[in-house]
Formats: sequence, structure tokens, C-alpha cells
Amino acid sequence: MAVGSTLFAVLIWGSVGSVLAVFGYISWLLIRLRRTK
Amino acid sequence: MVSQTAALAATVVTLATFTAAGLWYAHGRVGSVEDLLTARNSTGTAMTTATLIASTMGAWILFSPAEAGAAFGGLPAILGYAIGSAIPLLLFIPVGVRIRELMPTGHSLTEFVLVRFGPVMYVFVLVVSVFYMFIFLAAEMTAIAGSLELVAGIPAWQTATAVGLFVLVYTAYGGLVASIFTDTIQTLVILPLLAVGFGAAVLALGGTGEIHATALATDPSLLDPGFRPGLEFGLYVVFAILGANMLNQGIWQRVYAADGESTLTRSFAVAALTVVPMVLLAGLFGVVASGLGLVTPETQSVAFFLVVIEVLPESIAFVVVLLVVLLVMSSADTMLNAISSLITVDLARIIDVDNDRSLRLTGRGLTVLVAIGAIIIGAQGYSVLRLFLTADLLAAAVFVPLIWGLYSRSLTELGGLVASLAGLVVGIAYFPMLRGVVMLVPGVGPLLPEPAFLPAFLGATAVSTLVTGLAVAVGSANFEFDSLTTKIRSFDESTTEDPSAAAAGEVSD
Repeated sequence: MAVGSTLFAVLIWGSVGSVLAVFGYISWLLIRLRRTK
Repeated sequence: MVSQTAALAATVVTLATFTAAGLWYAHGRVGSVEDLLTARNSTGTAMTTATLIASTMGAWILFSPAEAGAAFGGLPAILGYAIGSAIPLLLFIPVGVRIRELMPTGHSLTEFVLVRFGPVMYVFVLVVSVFYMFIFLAAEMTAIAGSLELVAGIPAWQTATAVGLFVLVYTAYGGLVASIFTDTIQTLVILPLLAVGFGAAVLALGGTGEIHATALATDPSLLDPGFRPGLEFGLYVVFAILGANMLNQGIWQRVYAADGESTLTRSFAVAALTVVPMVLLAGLFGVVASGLGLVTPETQSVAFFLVVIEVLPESIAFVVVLLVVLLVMSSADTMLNAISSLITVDLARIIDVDNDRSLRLTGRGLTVLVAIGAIIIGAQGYSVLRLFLTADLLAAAVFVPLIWGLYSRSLTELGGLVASLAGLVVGIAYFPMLRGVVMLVPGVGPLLPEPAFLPAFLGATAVSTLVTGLAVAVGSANFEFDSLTTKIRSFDESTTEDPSAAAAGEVSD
């Protein structure tokens, strides 16, 4: 039984969102580090 | 297709920019061979996470996961690939913490193997580890040379030479310090480029609904999570990646570069969570290529790029060119530094290197030699996935006794060796890619089982684990873990306390 269209969309856009979230996390850590220095 | 001039210009500008950044950052920061090879306790969570993502996610993610999706079993194969890429990073959390406790001034897994097991096991692990990392580097060169040839028609040798030389310049000069810094910047460019580029590509293909419908109409098994060949691939790739990563000196260097246990734990956990969507997105392009009927048996390994060339607008193809260059730089510098680090640390034990400066020069010289070798192989155009799978099999048979040896006092060198060799024999017996070589051994042919990847990788790891367990149960050794702290010291310590100690390397009695 194939994965449904909605689940497929969640898989793709969820992955795109997760990658952007990690970008945000690392950027936030670096900015915080710069401010505390 | 992207214009050759534009792609070449973008490649050279990207290479030159990051080379300049690496040289600038490393200037004045590489005072000793320790800085060049270890950068001990120097990076916080942001840099450690970024460098782990950049180091492990090379240009291979645009080849192998898509090939797996297109040819090895659709969605379940990609899911296995994604999860398999994350598991080693998670395993590094307890194992990394443990090795930092046992040998706080260590540099590599091979050092541990030498003191914990002995010289025979050490040479065995060293050879497998260097072989795997060299294959990784050569595969990266192959990947970028092949992709730019496909997308922009740039001859493979030109790309391999340009990338190899630029990365070599800042890695030989700035070592691990330059590698981690450039990795951080590269990750900050790669992540949004990947997300936006892939998002735009999905929209250009008509959205997720359209892609789903096309794939389903062409071959429903592409999106079937229970598709058996895909599940099998997903399972054996986990073992393949796990073993290989455990022998990846680039990751061990970063275990030591992290500025504490909490940094190590957080960074490896976040990196593990990040590689899953990255591999998943890249792999889904294989499903798309297959769904659109673009893939033939000859073009499976470039499934991702078939979609880029045939379907997507030139602007997205250009983003892919930049992405490939960044992915390659970030992992090639890691592998170059890791191989030279491993050999430099080990060379210091074998030949008479009388001071820190000589050792640094040796390390840099080795970096040059390794880069030249990788450029030559990279221009040949071998299959990236096939290159990896061969190196992965060796690692799958070897890593279990090494990790077990971190916790067990009773495991002997003989036990570890027998376990590794037993795993290797079973793995090679089933491994399809080495069948031709194995058949050359007289009398072996009729004894060989049906070749298949799943029993090869599963068998190599399972037999190695089983024999290690038996060796631990009957082992008579009583290894003193405290001896690791005294026998393995940093190069700085060796040079300060006793200049002659540096000549013998950092392992001392």
C-alpha cells in the first residue's frame, strides 16, 4: 500500500522545514556567542 | 543545461572565497601540530554541529540516496539511508564521551587500538580506516567531477583538479582549525540553499500532489513503505554506514574538538536529526526521476541530476552547482585533514621526526600526496555508491570489536582479530561486487552462496559481533583502562616534557 499524497507532502515539506529550523538554530547559537563575547 | 562559463566561474569564485576564508581564520591560530590535527576542546555547540553536518554530508548525498530511491527500492530504501546516516552520529555520543574519558589527550581511534589491543590489530584497523577515508575523498571528487560534467559540460579532470587544489591549499595550511571554520560557514550556506532549492524544485515539478501522482502511476512500489527490496536496502545500508563512520577519523577529530561532553552530546544529536531530512530530500529526487521515466540502468547513479537537467529551470540548476561545490569542499577538507592526521600521528611512531615543526611539515606533505591521489581517481568517473559499498563492507566487519574493547577488559587482540576476519570472510563471500575477485581463488567458487548485499553487510556485522561476544566470554585479558591516560599524550605535552618523546610520537610509556 503506497504512502498517501498528504503523508508524502508532509515528508517533503517537513524535511524542508527541518533543514531551515537547524539553520535557524545554528545561526541563533552563533549570534548569542558573538553577543556574550 | 547551465552555461559552462557561468558554472566554471561560480565554482572557482566559491572555491577561492572559502580558501581565502580558511587561510584568514587559520593565520596565527596554528601554532603546533596539535592545532593542525586536533584543535582540542576548542569548538562550542554551533561550530561542532555545523562541522559535523558539513563533514558527513558530502556531494554523495546528491548521488547515492537518489540512486537508492530510483534503483534500489524507492521510499523505504531512502528512509533506511536517512536513518542509517543518523544512527552512527547518535552512537558517537556514548562512545565519544567514553573515549574522551579514557584518553583525554588522544587523537584517534587507531591510537586507542594500538594501546588497547596491540600492533597487529592496529595495522589492520589503520589500513581499513585510511582505505575508507580515501574512498570517501575519491568518491567526493568523482561526484563533483561527474555532476559538473552533466549539468554544465565541464570536463571531469578540470573540476577535480580545481577543487582538489583549492581545498588542499587551506587544509594543508590551516589543518583542522581551517576545516572547522569553513565547515561552519559552508553549513550556513548549504542548509538554506538545500531547503530553498529543493522547495523550488518541488514547486517547479508541479507540487507534491503532482509528483506523488506521477510516481504512483509509473511504479506504485516507489512509494510503498513495505516494498521488500527497498526494506532490504534500508536495512543493510544502516550497517554499511555505521561501520564506516565508526572508522572515520574526521568524526573522531571532532569528538576531541568539542569543548566538553555537553557540547559533544548536543552537537551529535542535532547533527543526527539534521542529516535525516537532508538525505530524505535528496533521495526523493530518485523517486521523482524514476516516476518521470528518466532513469535507465545506465543512468541510475545520476538520477538526481537527470531531474535537474531535464525538468528544472536553469536558475535551480545553477543553485545545484553551488550546492555541489560547497558539499564537496566541506567534506573533502575533512577527509584530507583526517587522513593526514591519522598518518602523521602514526608516522611519528615509526620514523624519527625530531620536533613539532618537522611533524607539521610531514603532515602538510602527506595532505598534498593524498589530494593528488584523490584528484586522479576522481577524474576516472567510477560509481560513487559502488565505491562506498566496497569500503563500507570492510568497516562493517571491523568496528564491533573496537567499540566493545572500549568497555570490556577481557577482550584480547587475538579475539578482536578473529572476530573481524570472521566477519570479513562472511561479508566477502556474499558481497556481489567482489565476486569476480573471489572467484579467482582456486576451489572457492562452488562454495560461494548466492551474492546479495543484505547477507553480506548483516553477516559481516552479525558474525563479527557474535565472535566478539564469544571472545569476551572466554577472554583471559584484564586490560587496565587507566593505562590509556598515561600511555597516550598530546604532542604539546610530549614536546614540553621531553623533546625526545615527540620523536616517538605521543604514545609513551
